[in-house]
Amino acid sequence: MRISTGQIFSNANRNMMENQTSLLDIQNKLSSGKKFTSLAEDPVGASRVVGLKRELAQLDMFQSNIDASRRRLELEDATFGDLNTAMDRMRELSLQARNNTNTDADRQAIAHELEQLVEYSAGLMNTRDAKGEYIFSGSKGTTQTYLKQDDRYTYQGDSTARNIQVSSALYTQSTDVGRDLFESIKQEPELSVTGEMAGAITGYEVTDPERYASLMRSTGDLELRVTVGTDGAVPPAVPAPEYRYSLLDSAGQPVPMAPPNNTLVKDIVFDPTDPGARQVTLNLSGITVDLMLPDNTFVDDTVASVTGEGEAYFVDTVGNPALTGSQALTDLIRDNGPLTVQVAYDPAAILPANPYTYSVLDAAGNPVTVTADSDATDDIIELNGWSVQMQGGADAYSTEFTLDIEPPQAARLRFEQSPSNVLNAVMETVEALREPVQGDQQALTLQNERVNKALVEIKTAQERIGESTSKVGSRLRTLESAEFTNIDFKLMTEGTLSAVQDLDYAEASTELAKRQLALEAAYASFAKIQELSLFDYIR
Amino acid sequence: MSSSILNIGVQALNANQTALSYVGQNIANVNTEGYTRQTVLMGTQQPPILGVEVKDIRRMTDQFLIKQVWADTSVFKSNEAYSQKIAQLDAMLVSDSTSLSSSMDSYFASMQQVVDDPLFIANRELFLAEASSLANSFNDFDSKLRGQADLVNTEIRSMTDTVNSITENIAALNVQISTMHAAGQSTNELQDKRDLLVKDLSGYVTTSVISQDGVTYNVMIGTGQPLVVGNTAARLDVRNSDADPTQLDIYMTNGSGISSQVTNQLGNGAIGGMVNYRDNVLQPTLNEVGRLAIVFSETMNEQHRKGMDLNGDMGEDLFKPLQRGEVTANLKNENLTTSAHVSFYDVQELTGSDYKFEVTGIDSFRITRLSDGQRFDASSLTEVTSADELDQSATFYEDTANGSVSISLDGMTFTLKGEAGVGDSYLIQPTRSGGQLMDTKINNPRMLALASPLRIEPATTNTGNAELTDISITSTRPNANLRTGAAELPLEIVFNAPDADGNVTYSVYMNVASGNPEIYEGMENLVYTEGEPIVIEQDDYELTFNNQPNPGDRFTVEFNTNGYSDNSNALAMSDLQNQTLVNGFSYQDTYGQLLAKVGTQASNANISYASSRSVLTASENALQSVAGVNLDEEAANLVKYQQAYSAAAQLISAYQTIFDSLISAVRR
Repeated sequence: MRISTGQIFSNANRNMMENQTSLLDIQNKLSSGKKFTSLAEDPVGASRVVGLKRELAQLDMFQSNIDASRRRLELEDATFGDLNTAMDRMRELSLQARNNTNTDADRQAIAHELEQLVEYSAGLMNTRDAKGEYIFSGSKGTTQTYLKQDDRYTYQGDSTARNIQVSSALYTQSTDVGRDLFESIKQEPELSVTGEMAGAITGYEVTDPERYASLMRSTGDLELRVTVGTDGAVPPAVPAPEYRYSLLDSAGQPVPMAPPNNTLVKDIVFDPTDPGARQVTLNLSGITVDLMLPDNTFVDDTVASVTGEGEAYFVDTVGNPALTGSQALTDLIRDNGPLTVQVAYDPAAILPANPYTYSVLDAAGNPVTVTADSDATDDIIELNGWSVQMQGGADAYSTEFTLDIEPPQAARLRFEQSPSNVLNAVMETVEALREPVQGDQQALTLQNERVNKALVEIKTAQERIGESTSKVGSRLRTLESAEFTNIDFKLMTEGTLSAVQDLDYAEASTELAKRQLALEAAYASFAKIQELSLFDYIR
Repeated sequence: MSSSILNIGVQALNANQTALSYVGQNIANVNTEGYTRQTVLMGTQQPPILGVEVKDIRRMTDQFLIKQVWADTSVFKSNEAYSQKIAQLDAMLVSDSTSLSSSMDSYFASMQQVVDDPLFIANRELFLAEASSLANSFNDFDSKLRGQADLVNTEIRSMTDTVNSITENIAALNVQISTMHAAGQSTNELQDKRDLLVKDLSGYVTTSVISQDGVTYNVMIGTGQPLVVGNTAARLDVRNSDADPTQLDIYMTNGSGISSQVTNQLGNGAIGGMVNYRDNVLQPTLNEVGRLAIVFSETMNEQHRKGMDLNGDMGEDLFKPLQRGEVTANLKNENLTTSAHVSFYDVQELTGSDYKFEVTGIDSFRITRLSDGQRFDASSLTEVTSADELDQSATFYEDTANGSVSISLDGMTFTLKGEAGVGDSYLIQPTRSGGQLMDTKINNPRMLALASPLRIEPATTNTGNAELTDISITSTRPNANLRTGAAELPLEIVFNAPDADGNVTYSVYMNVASGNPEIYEGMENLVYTEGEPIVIEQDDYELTFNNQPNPGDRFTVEFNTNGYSDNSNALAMSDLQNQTLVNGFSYQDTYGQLLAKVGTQASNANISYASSRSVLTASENALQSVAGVNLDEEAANLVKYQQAYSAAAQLISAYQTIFDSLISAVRR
């Protein structure tokens, strides 16, 4: 094949250029330490690098979270330690105060030191971290944890703890809430009453706190209900109003009285006109409740209301429009839920057949038994004692309407037990100790009872702090193991990242030598070739 | 002319002298670009006259090889332009300092600081600074890409100018060559020049040359549009595109003054390579960055609005809301009084594609997704009856009262209002300007909404182990009750004893502080299922509890007053990093995919470049082996013609000897 002179030179030129470029490329790689210096060299690797770097950044984030959390937990731990020491001293002083050989002056001195300890402990409970946040206030970090008012300390924070992320799937709690830590002392259980009929409860007495607490724990909120109905007398007798009261639990079931009585407090009839009969004492398990039931001006809001097609409204026994259904109807609805009445009217029906045929269904579609219509001639349908007026007319029609009840007036009874803290307990003791009781045996006994109570309360508080300390300890251990896991992950990820993007120096150096050789060969061959020319040989 | 030795000698001398001069021409032009070697064709004189004459000066070329070189040059130049531009983009993306993923890492790292310590103002300020810096990274990235786009446009402009001057020269040469050819003169050098010009032209556009009379070149571009016909050259010029005024289109105006758009008909060549890069690499990358910016801003905003800031107010937008895309009406549209806009109904469904909306008939339209060419017309979309139902993809709604039509597709809703003429079209670019417009909106650290707006406080008398696991705000619209303060709070959730079926039930009470709490919204005796949310529909939130409560256990739901140490919303915002929010991928994975895509395109471009270069080299070599000058060959030819010349000179000298003999024989 024929070659032109130009080709010889341009080929040699191109070879040298290519070799130089590839030599420069390997030099770039060696000096940057990266396997690829452009996306084109490893597109998939480039996108993996993005993902791996993100994981490394996240692992660093988790580590700084762990450090922040650890600092906070260590602060808490130190605070608990100091509190424990203070409470130990409180115990010592209380034991000392119980000694009958103390004079009033001695007791004053003890009271004084106790008060100092209380203030010191309150200060610890109000600990703020380096940035000024109250660490025990839950989510109310700008609010002082305990506020002193009238020598008593009230918790101002809330119950929300903060969570942080310490590894890709692990969130831990990073704060502890003062309410759980310090509000550990239970006071006397109480009853709280709300509702329209709250005034009916005039008083109560807790006879056995534990049984009372366990009663309320199984019943939930209690409801005292007074309903008005009829005594069920059948016409032609005129039904008289009947007043009943029930005590229901949160599932709607009646509550039994205390054993051995065990009667259910359900629909117990009372005479509203007799003030003596209106005063009732309910003897429940662990608590007695005094009631003053309402008198006969009480209006029961339990109404059966009718909604549906066509004209239908309640009438009473003499045919006048009435606003309420009977107690029997109400009871029926209460037992079966809202009722649907389906009525078909056929004017062609011949007596004694009732032109109105009706069926009563409950919410699930099951038929409900009601008393039969006593009078087929009129346009009134009777349902369990009260009646519904229908439209008559010449045309046949069928209609449907529903009966439902409005909730009655009621009172809700709720279990209450305010918590308190060791600061208040000790302050009460301090005030008791400040009273002069020398020589007064009775007062002294009372005082000692108070001190004994304080000892129990301090012990409860210390137990709670002890639990919290071990919780903090276990959380610190969790943080530590999360830290180790993260370190392992980080090592692994760094290894993967290095495998993807870092240069293999051994391989690259060999490549450098190879390419250098190629360039030198190109130079040498060019030198040789360009020497050759026929002109040198023609004379 | 007689056949005397003298004459023969003289002819031989002339012929060889001519041959020598052409050998000299070849030697002299050994390094001239595009030079085709010329050989002298000698022929005998017509009998009965004896002697030699130069019949022809042959240009040693091969038309087929030349055309091959032109075609390969087009392909090579196209790949060269494309791969050079991609290499620039590649270099920009491979550097860690421009990496959007690294900026996001810093942003989320500063977010963890506020998760740890939401109250500390310095942490909040740092986070705001990082958010602002992230927005700036997006802006920078976007402006770098736009800068490249501007450069591409400038280069296209200058290339078309070059093409114009080349074609003018070709036309001029056509005239010169045909004149000289008619006069019988050698046009070899001019032909070489013309071939070289066509090769240059091929570097810019694909050319095909037809020579009807063997003398004049008629040059067509790409698909057959005539560029040079005889002595006239059409002009190329660059104008703003009708569909998208930020782009350039190339128009060709022929001799009669008629212009037509030829952007996509230029075949290969550097201009084609530039246009290819612009349309298939640069614009999609710009769109992808825009999409990432939009989804990031909107998802962060949505979560931020669910929190409570240090002033006790619900959060506002953290980033500037990017709720509109770009719509451009085609400049050729009949009706210029229509208005059109595009908004987003679900940023998580956005693709990075552009769309084209065309009015195809009086009452029919078509919308095309430009990334894959898929078309949708009224029959492939579902019609809905109100604007509220436009939150599903592939739906459309005609509002005859307002005279507008709206189409929802891939996360965006396009609305056209007014009477558009048949054939009108609109270019929809939902994500094009996301990267440019991204910005932070909050600069007051107190307005960072990191806490939960609600506090759930268990009663101190609770004995069960039910606990709250999640508070979920379900609406962030401006008139939601929690935001306007119209929410019914506090509420009390009270758990009851198990009912007849053994299910634990709960009731929700309002007006808790009064002595007479009432049932809230009929929520009485609802069945409690662990792990299923308790929905407070009016006020747009849900609460989820775990484990079992005892009867009488109660929880108070109240506004999180003074709850500034809470970090629930900050945690939720930080979790967004790992969620697949960008059409099934997380933010940083999307960025990684962008890198992989550009990398693959760059890698393919490099391969194409290398292969097209070796193809071009091979065909150039083939041409050179026919047309190139070989100095050694010319040296041999020099000797050859020199010897012939000497021999011819000897003829004359022989003639002189004969003549002298004759004269001396006759003289006496």
